Amino acid sequence: MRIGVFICHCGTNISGVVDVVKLAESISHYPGVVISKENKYMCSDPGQNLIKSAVKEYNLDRIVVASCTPKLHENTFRACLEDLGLNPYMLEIANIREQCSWVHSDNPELATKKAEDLIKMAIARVRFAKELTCSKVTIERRALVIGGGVAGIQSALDIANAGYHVTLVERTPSIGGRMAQLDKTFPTLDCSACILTPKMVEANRHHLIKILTYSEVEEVSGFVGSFEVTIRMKSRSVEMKKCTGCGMCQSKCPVKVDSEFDEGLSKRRAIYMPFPQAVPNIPVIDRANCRYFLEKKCGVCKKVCPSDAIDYDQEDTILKEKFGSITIATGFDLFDHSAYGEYGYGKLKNVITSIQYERLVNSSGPTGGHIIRPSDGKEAKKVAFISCVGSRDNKMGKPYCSKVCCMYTAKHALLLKEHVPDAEAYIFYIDIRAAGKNYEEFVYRVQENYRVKYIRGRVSKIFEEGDNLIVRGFDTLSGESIEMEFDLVVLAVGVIPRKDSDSFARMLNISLDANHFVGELHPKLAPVEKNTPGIFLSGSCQYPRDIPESVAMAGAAAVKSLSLFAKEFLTSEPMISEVNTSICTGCLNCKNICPYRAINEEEIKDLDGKIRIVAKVNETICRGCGTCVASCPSQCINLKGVSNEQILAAIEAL
Amino acid sequence: MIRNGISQTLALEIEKRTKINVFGCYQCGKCSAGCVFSYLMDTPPHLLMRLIQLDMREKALSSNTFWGCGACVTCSFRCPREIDVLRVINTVRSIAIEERVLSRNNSLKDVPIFNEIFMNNIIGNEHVNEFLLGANFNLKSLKFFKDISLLPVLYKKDKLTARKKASTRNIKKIVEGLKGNNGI
Repeated sequence: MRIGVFICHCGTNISGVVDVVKLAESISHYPGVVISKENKYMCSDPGQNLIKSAVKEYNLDRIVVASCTPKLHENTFRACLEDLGLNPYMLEIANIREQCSWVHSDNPELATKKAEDLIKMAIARVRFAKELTCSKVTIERRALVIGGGVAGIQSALDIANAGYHVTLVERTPSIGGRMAQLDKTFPTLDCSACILTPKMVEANRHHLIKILTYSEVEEVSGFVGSFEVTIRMKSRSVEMKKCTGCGMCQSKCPVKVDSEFDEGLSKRRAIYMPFPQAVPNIPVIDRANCRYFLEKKCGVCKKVCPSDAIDYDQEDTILKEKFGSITIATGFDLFDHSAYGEYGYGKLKNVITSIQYERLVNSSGPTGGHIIRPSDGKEAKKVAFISCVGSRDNKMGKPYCSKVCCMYTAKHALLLKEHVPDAEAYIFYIDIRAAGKNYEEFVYRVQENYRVKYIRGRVSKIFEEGDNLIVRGFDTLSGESIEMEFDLVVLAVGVIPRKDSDSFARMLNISLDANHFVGELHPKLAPVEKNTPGIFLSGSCQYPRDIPESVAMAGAAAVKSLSLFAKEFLTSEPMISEVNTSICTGCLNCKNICPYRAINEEEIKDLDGKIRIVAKVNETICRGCGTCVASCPSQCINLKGVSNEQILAAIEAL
Repeated sequence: MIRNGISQTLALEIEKRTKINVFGCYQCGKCSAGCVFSYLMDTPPHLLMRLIQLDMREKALSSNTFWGCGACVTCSFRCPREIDVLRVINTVRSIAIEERVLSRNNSLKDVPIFNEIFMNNIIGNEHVNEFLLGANFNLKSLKFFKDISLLPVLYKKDKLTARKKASTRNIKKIVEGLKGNNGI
């Protein structure tokens, strides 16, 4: 056994605290260590060449590198060993930067002592290192995209245009998502539907994209390259092949329900298409409100349908498919402002949310583009827009900035002026966050050309007086109290995670961040990846995103899927559990505790011919978390690369 | 003009007394917007917070914010940064009283006089004695004939003589406990 130890200065990150030269000298006398060297930067080319030449010169068979965390450069040094023809797992890293020099800069002497201990432990571990090899896994070259908003549609298109099959799953009856609800888009004032619908149609016509609307992902198992996904296609009660989308059914249906698409500002029928440009252009029956399903009466839609497409007996279809990658594009919900007592508990009729305002100003919306008050239908002449409702508010548990509200509020005020030229618009804000291409200029335009009054101060109370609303605020720039009467108040409600994000995360076995958005693998260097390989993020499920950002993320997530599909095969992680079947008692504690469902039971024949049950690890599913190792009462499960004997040796070396 | 940097002695003093970190305040103005007495103040609550952040000690202690404050707690209740604004205001009042700093604005000059007499009255008698309170206030504020027409009413209700002193120990204990960060 010939061990080489290589100690890194990391500039002065390590050597500024730890006496590296002395350390290299003392370690070189350690039993088993053939050579011990230090270098300014071990990860640099000269540093790696130093390792390579030392391995050749001293005929080393395993090495210890004392440097930064293995998260950063373990792969660098493994590759270095591979170049030399050694097994890359004959390597141990002693983390003497994050776990020593950075945290003990106040006591260099003890830090040097600790660094020595850490290296000694690494040497003890490397003594028991075994050669490990990766196995090859095939890839299912089909992508699943969850969520049919603009992020999901773009991701699906990008993957499909590269020549791979995509399944796009959408929960509502139509794809389009939030963007379909919007009127104009900032800062260019493009009509939102006009730029979105061509993409929806393109996705629908694409021969490699399968769109499953009114469907939900129910179960996900498996791993990168072959996820096994169960999708429930809820029954539309309308046969998709027969329906021509004529709309006769929804014009005759007698039941009226609040429209989700118009945010409760209009009524839809029990059989409905959410909006005229819906893709697919096929209605669904909302069984919870349909008179046929509630009372077994009515049946008007079936009678009037000219193509006999209504099928009341249709059942949910369960689809089980395999996918190589999953892109999450589940989008966002909006903050429920009834939590604010001072803003009327959501009970003041003329206090509406920003998304309701989008529907109001939309020419195909419930009012045909007239900005009228919900209470009496009078045109709104004086409107207050209030930003940061349910964002930047620790009291409401939403400390983060919702990011898009400053811009859409400026747009809302501009649209008011465009629709009602003699109207007055007031925006109550705390800070204006307009960091984006042409965003700041847009806000200036709203202030200078449209003369929208910006008042810097959060509103403290909204209450009714007669027909109108009184807004009590404060202009913090002039120190003036403000109590003004308005026809209409629009609350810029913050973007929040999907309300079912917790159960969704459990189903996919992924983590959420502190605000319950879907957390990314690395905030800077892997913003569209999850810690589960093969799962990618797109759009506002990760954090409030505007349209250009969502589209950019969609492309980035698609590329991650494509680079996966471009590989011939995947290599599995070799540092996984293995069962010593000769001492396994078959208690199967490990099977029950495994978070990845990677352990199953297996029948084996003993030497004396008896058949008994033992645990068996599925090598492709196991992620090497080590939970089973800790749970095994007979210590027969071991984690390759971090075995029990290695850990015990490391402790003994202390 | 701020020239030599900004220290944080006042903020640290408040943090020591109340454990409130005033640097969480981003001056959104919701406290001032909801304050029913802000029209009386030369420095509305959000601006007092700013003065503390900038360590403008004299300006903060000589403001009349804490003499105009009615302690309705609306500011603390609605603060999106969950800062107990009322407690900060009260603490600044305590410091101003301890350091005998006078308001630079004359409009509320009687309030501290009343505050002192009222508190002494409670500490000394356990009850508030309206006659002593009024008489003392009139003397100290040099408004000798203020509310003089109420004397017969007080006489009728037998409020002119001081009540028998009850045990004032408990009251003293409460007041001592409140001292320092509650504006006493």
